[in-house]
Amino acid sequence: MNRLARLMVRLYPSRWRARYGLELNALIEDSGAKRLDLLDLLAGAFKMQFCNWKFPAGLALAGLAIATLAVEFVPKSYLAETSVHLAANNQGKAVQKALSRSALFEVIRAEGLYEQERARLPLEDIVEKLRKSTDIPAATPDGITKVSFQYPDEAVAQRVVLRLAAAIAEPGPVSTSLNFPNTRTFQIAGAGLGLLVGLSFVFFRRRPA
Amino acid sequence: MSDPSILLLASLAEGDKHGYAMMEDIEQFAGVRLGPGTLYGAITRLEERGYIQAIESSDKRRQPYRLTDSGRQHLAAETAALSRIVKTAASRLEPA
Repeated sequence: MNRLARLMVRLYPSRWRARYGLELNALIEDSGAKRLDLLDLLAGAFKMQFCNWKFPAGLALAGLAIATLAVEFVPKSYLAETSVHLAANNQGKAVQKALSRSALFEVIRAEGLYEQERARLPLEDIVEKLRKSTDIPAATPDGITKVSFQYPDEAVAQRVVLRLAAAIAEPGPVSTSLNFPNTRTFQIAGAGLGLLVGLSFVFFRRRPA
Repeated sequence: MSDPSILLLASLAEGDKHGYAMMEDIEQFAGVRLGPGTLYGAITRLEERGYIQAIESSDKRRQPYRLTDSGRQHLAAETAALSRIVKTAASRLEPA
C-alpha cells in the first residue's frame, strides 16, 4: 500500500514535490498508508495540479475574450456571390470581356472602388486588384459558373458582383457572407495562444531549481 | 469542527511538529485522522499564507513547522468566531 501511495505522490506537480515530496513520502512511511489515503492523495494531487492549471485556463479565457473583441475592430471583407448561365458557344469570350481592363475600369469608376488606393497607385494596379478580388471559375458542363467578389463594404460587394455577372449573362440571386475575419478561427487562435503562454509559464515555473 | 487548516494550527499552537506528529496529535485531540494529501494540502496553504513556517532542520524528511505570529492571530480570531457560534448554538438548544 505504501508503494502505491508513493506512486500517488508522483501525481503532484514537480515543483510541489521538490518542496514537500520527501516529507510526504516520510509521512506515508511513518503512518502506513491506508486504502482511503490513496484516494486522499489522489484528490490532493488533483487539487495541486488544478492550481497549476488555473493560470493557463485563465489566460486561455482572456485570449478568447480579446479575440472576440478584436474581431469587431479588424477590417472586414465580404464575399458576394452569384451564378450565371453561360451560352455554350461564348463562354471564354464572355468572361474575358467581363474582366477586360476597360470593363473593370468602368466598374471601378461607377462604384467608386478603392478610393484611397486610387490616390497613390496607377490605374493598372487598381484594375489588377479588382481582378484578383474577383473569381470566375470554369463553367460546369451545363454552362453554370459562379461569379464572386470580395470587398470591405457588403453593399458595394453585392453591386459589383451583379455588374460583373451582368456583363457575362443574366445573373441569379446574390448571396453575401463575411469572408474575413472568421470569428471562430479568431477565438480558437486567441484561446490557443493564451493557453500556450500560460502552459509555457507554468512549465518553466514548475521546473525545480 | 474538522477544517484541516484550523486543526493543524491548533496542533502547532502547542509546539513545533513535523507532519506525522501533527497527524497523530490531531487524531488524539480532535478524533479526526487527516489523510496525508489533506494534511500536506493544508500545510502548503498555511505556509503560503505565512501562518506557519518550516524550521531549519537537518532531517529534511521530517521537516518541523512552527506557528508564526500571524498564524497565532488567525487561530485566535477563528477560535473566537467558533466560540461565539458554539455559545449561540448551545443557548438555542437549551429548553425555554
